[in-house]
Amino acid sequence: MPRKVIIDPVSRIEGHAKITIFLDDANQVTDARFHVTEFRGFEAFCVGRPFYEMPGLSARVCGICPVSHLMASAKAGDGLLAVKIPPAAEKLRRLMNLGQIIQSHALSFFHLSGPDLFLGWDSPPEQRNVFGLIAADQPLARAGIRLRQFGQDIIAALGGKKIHPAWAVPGGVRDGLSPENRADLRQRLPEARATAQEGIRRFKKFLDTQKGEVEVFGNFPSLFMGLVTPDGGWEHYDGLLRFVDAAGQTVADRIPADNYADYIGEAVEHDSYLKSPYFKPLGYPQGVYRVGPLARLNISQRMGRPLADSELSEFRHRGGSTVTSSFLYHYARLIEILAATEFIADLLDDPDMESKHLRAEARVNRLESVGVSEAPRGTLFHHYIVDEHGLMKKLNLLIATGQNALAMNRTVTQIAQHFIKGAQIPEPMLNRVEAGIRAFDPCLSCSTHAVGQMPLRIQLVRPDGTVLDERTRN
Amino acid sequence: MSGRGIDLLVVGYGNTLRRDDGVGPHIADTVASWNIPGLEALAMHQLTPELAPRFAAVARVIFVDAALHTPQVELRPVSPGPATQALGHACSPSWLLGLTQALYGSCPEAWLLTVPVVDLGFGEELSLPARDAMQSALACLRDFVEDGGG
Repeated sequence: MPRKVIIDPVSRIEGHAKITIFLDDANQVTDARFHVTEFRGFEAFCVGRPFYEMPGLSARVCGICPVSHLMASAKAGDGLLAVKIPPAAEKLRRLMNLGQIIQSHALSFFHLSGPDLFLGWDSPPEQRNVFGLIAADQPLARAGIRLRQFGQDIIAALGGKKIHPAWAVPGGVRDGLSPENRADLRQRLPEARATAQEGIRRFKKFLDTQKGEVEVFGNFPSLFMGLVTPDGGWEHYDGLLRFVDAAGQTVADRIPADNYADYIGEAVEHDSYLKSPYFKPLGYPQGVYRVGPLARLNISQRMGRPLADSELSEFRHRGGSTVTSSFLYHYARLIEILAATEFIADLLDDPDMESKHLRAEARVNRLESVGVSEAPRGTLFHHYIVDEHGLMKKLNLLIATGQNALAMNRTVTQIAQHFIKGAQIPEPMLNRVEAGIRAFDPCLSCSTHAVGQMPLRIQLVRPDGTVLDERTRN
Repeated sequence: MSGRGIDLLVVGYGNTLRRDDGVGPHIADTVASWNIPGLEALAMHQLTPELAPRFAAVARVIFVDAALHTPQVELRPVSPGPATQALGHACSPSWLLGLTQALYGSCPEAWLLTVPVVDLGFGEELSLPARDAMQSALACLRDFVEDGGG
């Protein structure tokens, strides 16, 4: 009789999710599903609000990546005003977005996934947390926290606070970077860069022992999508959309944000509040694509800065010219942190940092606009339709984590099929399934635009409802 | 951004869009305006692990938070929590102190100042009871600072 294993909630991710693993009569994994159990309705309750409120409103979708929503929302607002923002404003927005990438990636690598990577998949669960990491390697743990602090302090230096800064607005930004904060960030940059490089060094050493995991942690062909610069380089704030296949061939390129809906469809699943975007020309679910650090490195010809480009070259040497293993999201994340430190150095030395011209003023000149930027987890779209007074009539938020939904399902299935054998479910195997999800660093509050918590348990349940096994997390 | 020369750190935290939950940040902002040498105040949405390096550099910390079903302003010591818990959605004062202890080998002397509140609905204004309690909390903090604290 078919049975199922349920992991609920998934630990050490942002938000709440459960995983259901289906077993056949021979206790072999037949399928696995990643469900998101939060519901919010953001796209509904923003209708009627003035568009200029949207950056502040949408930033409150999430406490981990509010900056990402600020950027995409402000850019959508720029489009409604039909303005090109001052160069200094764009550079300041880029600076904040790079700070966001650093702080979010540092959280993901050092806090959320670090216990698995540095303590081992099979280490005791009670030690597989940040305190276990500290006990094993205090200097690394400290460095990871200070790296995240650096990213957060960039955000606070510009926006006045680290979480939900009301700073990027349609037309530009509210404030510049003070000379004191600029000097402080410049002085702290070498440490941030050194931590990124040490993280890369450690991960490469760890990677040499994980060939099995690399093969089965979401290693499958898919498309990859993200923003690139006009000359095909790594981009995090602007640019054009590009889709690349698993062989590295470009299948769609130079797509303006406004045309995203020509290429991306959204399917609704019955068992999750997470929508499943897909590449329209291939249909659903064949059009599965991945976004985020792995995708950004796969679609880019180069990072655009020497240290990061050197690491990108080794990344491709180790993982292939187009890297398909989701396990290597961790590696890509670290390379992006390194790139961010290099780009930040250039921005801090840019004379435009002293400019006082930070906003373009206009009234509503267009009734529809799409703002797109790269959140740490992947490409983020804010699509707004307003009336002639600038009040929201309709909005669609296409979230990075949602775009990885199909890939996360496939990853969970692959890992479960490889590691779970029989009716006894050892905890380290469950952790590997969760770790597969964590590789994507999903932000589930954003992706369901959600609030709320549910008290949840892990259950192995027969179709007739008999509970075979139960584990409690949280 | 550094903690140099700071002896006492006041950390007021809470959601300023949930009415009385914002009393902690409001108190921190007021304390910051006192401009007392050696005293720094942070208004935060929530406690985060990145406070640990700040805590390692100061001698004393006071956490300020809203509390339902509490009859009056209360200041009580907080000890570092056990070094076994995973990072959840938000850090508690004891967890954060435990993290500081684990990372740096010591942690500051700490207290939690709880401020009685009644309304956690959506909005930015404090209720009248919360505003009254805020004044009591500020008086408590003022006394703490003037008496040398601890």
